[in-house]
Amino acid sequence: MRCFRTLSLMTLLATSTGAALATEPVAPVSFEDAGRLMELELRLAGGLTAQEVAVTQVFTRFRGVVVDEGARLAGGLPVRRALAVNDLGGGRVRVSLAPVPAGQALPDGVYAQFLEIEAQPRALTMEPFMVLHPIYLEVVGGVARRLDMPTYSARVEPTVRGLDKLGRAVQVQPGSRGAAALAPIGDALDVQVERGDAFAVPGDERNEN
Amino acid sequence: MNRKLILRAVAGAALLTAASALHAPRAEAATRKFCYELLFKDDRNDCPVAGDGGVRRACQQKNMNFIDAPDGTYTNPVGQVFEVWDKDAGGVDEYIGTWHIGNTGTRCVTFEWENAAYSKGEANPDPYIVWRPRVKKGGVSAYVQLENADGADSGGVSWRDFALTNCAAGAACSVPNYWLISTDSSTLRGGRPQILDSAEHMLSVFGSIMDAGEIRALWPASGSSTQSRTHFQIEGDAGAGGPGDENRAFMSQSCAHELGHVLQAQLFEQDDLVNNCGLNGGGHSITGQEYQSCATTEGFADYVAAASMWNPDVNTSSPARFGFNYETAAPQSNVCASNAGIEGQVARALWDLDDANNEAAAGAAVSPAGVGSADAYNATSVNVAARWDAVPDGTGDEQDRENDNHGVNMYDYADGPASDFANSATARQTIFAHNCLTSQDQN
Repeated sequence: MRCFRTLSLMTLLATSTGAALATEPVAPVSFEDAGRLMELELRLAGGLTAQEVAVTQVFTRFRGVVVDEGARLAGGLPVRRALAVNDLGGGRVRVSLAPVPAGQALPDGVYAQFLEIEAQPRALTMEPFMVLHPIYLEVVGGVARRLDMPTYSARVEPTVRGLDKLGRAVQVQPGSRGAAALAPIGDALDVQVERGDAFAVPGDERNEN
Repeated sequence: MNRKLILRAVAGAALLTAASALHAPRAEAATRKFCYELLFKDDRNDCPVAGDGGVRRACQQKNMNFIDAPDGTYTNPVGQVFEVWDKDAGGVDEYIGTWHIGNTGTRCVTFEWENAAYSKGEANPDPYIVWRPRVKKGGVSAYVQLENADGADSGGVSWRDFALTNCAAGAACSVPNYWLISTDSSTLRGGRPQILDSAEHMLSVFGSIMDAGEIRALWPASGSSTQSRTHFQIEGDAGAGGPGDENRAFMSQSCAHELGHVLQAQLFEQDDLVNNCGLNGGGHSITGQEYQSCATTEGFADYVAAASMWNPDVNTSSPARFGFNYETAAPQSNVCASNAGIEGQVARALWDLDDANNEAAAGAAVSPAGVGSADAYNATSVNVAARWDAVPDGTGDEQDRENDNHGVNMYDYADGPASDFANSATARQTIFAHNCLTSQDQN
């Protein structure tokens, strides 16, 4: 069971007087992501209200394949979809993530989606800002379940054994390549010799830079 | 010359010739030039992009339209480290060398071949790249290494399957397309180059005053925080079922903020920072009320993050986080004294001390006629940060471990010994009057 990040162990440790962990400011929008399958609650702080928040669901991986940015449809479903924000009061809102009507299932496969939470504070002291929250799903036999980031990562980007420069076994992942349909003008001719020298003896890092 | 002397002279000349031949480069010796362009998928959203005022090096650098890979926004991994290897299909690959990427665009490395042990008699190498999750800025001795929860270095990315073949001397051997470290920014792997790129921004601005050596960064972790002067962590879903469900790899300022804490700890020569962020329970926010020690420590880290992404010397810079703009002149609270414990207001004070844009006072900072409260001082980013280096060790007033709720605060920053700002009326006006920090505790 997950809980609010504001109640995290690190944050609680940071409240003690004296030597303390230096932490990060909490965001005015935080997530109560208890792993519910098709819904998410947001907690709003700093005076933000439900009317000042817009949530867009964006598929970034559909049936195991990364979706092009700017694509309009994936598998017949809209890639970008504005979600209704349900005000629960007390600075809490809920959004429904279900991309297909009740009774229908997504095709089997691994899915990722970003929730883009755009805040438009009315307070004169604040400006618009955005927070991104990824959500991962796996559908097997028509049954969907949420994945956490490590599980999702292992599904879509498996690791293989490689060697480090000392010959020790390490994990690596195969890189991919891309041919540009239209090379960005200017960069193609921007060839410069790299800083630094190679070092010939494996393990000798003195010359690394 | 007698016969014995002639023989000696001939023998000596022969020895010299033989010795010269041993030391001269072999006729076929030559370097190889290997050119490539790496990219990573970049969805960070709290840093400036190309065209934004004051952008240093843009996030989401390029909109790529690929034929055979996902389209979207990608960035060159400047400063990130890679190795070049020689592929031997039937044996063990040879390691050639390690470099860090010097700038954007297509880049090249040159390395010795015929005279190098790693050539092992092969006529030409079959080079490929292994990217490692480490970042280093040229001329800076500090570097950031990502690690997993078990403390091991995070995994790399290898293009062994796409190794070039027979890279001959005399012409550049070029990768014919882009090699992509990531195409999905939301995976463990996708977070790594985003975090490291954010670290590179910070090292570019403040690295010159950081300790030499390794800074280790754990990703993903439960909450972003700093553990010591050489260790911090970035929040992400670690899959443990606990807290930490927010992916801060997407926030460039998260990594730069934590490196701001690392920098302050290094300048204090301490492994922790004495402050109290417990005024209103757990956590702190940019606009919330905190003890001044918390507001100052966290506000400094907020400032470091902002100055890492936006150039304070450019008047059009408009740095912000979570909707709080550090260039806004009017203090957050319309009651001047109530700004003393707001970390965003400390960040604004340090930004104003640094920036070229000297704006007039506004809101609660407008002073009675005749009393100056405009932003009036322009330091360098390094000078603003390096001030902590002169704060002496100890637990008393104006010392680095002052152990009450309101110290270390901005008076300790500005007034202590060897301060550039203690005797400057314009510096003090910029920090205190312009940002309504005058009511901070002077002890």
